[in-house]
Amino acid sequence: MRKIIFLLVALVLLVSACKPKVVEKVIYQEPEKIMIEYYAEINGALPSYAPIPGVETEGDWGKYVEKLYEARVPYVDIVPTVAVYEGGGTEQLSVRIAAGRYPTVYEAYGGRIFSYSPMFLDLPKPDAPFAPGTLDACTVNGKLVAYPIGFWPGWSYANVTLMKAAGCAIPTGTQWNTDAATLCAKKLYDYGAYLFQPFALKQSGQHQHWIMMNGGAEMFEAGNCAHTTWGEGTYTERYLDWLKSLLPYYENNPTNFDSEEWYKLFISGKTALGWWDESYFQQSVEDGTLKEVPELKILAMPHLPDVEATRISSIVATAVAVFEPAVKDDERLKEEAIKFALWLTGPEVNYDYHWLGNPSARQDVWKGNIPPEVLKDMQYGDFNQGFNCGKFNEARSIWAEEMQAFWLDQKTARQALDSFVARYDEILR
Amino acid sequence: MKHRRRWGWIFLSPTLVLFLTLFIIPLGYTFYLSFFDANLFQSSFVGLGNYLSLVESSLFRQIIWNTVKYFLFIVPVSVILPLILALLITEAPRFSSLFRTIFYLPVIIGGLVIASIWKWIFNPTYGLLNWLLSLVGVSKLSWLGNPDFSLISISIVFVVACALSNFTLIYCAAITSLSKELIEAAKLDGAGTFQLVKSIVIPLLKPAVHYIMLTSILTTFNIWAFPKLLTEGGPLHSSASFGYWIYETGFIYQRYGLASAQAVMMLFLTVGFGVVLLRTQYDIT
Repeated sequence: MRKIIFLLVALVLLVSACKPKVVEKVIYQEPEKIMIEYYAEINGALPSYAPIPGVETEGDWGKYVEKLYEARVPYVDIVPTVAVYEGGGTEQLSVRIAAGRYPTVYEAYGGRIFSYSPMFLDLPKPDAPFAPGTLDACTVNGKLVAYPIGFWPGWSYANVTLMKAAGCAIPTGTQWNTDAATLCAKKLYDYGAYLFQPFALKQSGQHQHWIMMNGGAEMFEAGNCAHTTWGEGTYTERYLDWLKSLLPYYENNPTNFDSEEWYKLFISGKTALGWWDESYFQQSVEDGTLKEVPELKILAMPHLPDVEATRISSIVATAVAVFEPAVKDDERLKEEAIKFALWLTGPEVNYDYHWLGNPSARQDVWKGNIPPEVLKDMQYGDFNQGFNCGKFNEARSIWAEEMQAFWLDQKTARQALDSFVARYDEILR
Repeated sequence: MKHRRRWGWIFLSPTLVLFLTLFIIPLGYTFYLSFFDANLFQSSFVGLGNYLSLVESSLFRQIIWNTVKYFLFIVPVSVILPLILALLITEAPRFSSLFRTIFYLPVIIGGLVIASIWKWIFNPTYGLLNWLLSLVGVSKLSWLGNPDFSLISISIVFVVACALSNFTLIYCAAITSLSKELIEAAKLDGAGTFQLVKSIVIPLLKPAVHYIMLTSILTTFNIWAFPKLLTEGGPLHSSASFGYWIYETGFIYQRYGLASAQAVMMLFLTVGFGVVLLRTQYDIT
């Protein structure tokens, strides 16, 4: 009997083993296409930081990003719109938003992007290795409103060739004081060149000066956008007075000077300090203005003699955010938009995003091409608290107006600073 | 008759739709928005608050004063200088086409290029104007960076780049369309050139003069491109026009309600000027 049972079981097993297997057919269903509108405001600096073949203009950048991402994620359709920030990009986006036409993903200059913070998605905290402080600098009232792409540590390039020719002493490190700078300004002027050129024409990037002026980080109470202070106002006040003392040695009165003119002076070897790297000088060599690209060196803005060093108040130079109204009814779009935004900060697209003005915010992008001095001297400052309060355009215009009053002797440095704080406070409320 | 009227409305409708959507509705919305404190994020009703704060602001008084200065610098020159040029051009028919082309060039090359050229001309260090002045011993002036000169500088650019080109051509067209018989008759009666211009040409050109006057007055409110491109309205708003001020409030400070109130005020002021001028024209003619 046991044998019979054993044989039956064996038979059943044999039959079941011989039974043709039902092959589960795995049908790969390609996800439905999803469209992400990528709106980028580029500040005209693209060719320098991204020397990518075929990317010559801002428009090329949009197409480059589209191609790169679509090859990686085929079911996402990137629709790029690239606006030149100084060329009307500000107005274009405002008009679009006023009409309710929100782009999905928005990349822009740091100061600019935070103007729209209330409309941005609260982004998930990423695992990617962002540089210390950069994510905090993109957090407003506990909400991570943007992923940082690059930061700006407030440095200058110094044209060492020009400074040597004029007889200036070249600082050994990155720090130098205002006594040395004043002496150098005089020597450069006698030589037919200039140390530096402040500017107070509106919408000209005046904020950089404000940060350079060693009081920017303290101007805001950390995490509180409703109150502004001028913490180290005395220092900033004295610093402004020092800048004014150099007025006879500038090329022009700052009241009608903009960064474009400063750029021209710098790349033609007429100004010692500027924000532009070697690649920009190539143009001057090609058109015969200069014989060769000069030797450049990174220098902080000079500090007053009674302090140890210039405080480098970094700001988030570029960041990327997701407009909440554009994704709120579509979970899948939201998820894909966040992925795309994070990808925009990463090595695949940012491998050359390293020029002095904008070191990448992500450490996995760094390939040893961040000057060690930049990293070392970061200890003297921190990320500007309050830059992310927004209202950047307004702040910049108010600052320019107050500086115009200062340069035209209608206000003292103290009065101009106090007036700026009072007016900015009003628009933040 | 009814049938014709219906067809009339049908033919008019595309234009009316465009006029309504692109002009009347935005105008109405601007008027509506002027009662709100509105920015990109929020909007709250403030009644006449925007208007009151405008009237009370010192900047408003400065802008009005700037407009008066633009008026004084631009209008007389824009009316008289092109007339003189047009008379000279029409007196030299052989070179007439050449001069017309030259005068029309600024219109073709565009405001941005003109502004760039003038920025170089006005540059205190290497600009043409200061170089010319240095030849007669005048020291360097900051044409665009000094509040005392910025508005005059922009007026010069406007007159040279816009008024001379457009208005000279309008005068030329008006002069060539004058009755030749009348001019011949006056000459036969022994009228000299001055008398001919004073008693025949200028009275007959009054419609053109009024048109140019009206256009240049409206421009003094609306002038935008050159303050924006050359001075950003500065320094210290010394060269800001009404039009530039609205732009600044709306697009830089993003205060749409306040900018709308400014626009409504400008509308009333320009319409007021226009009505007065047109009434004067009808009284004269």
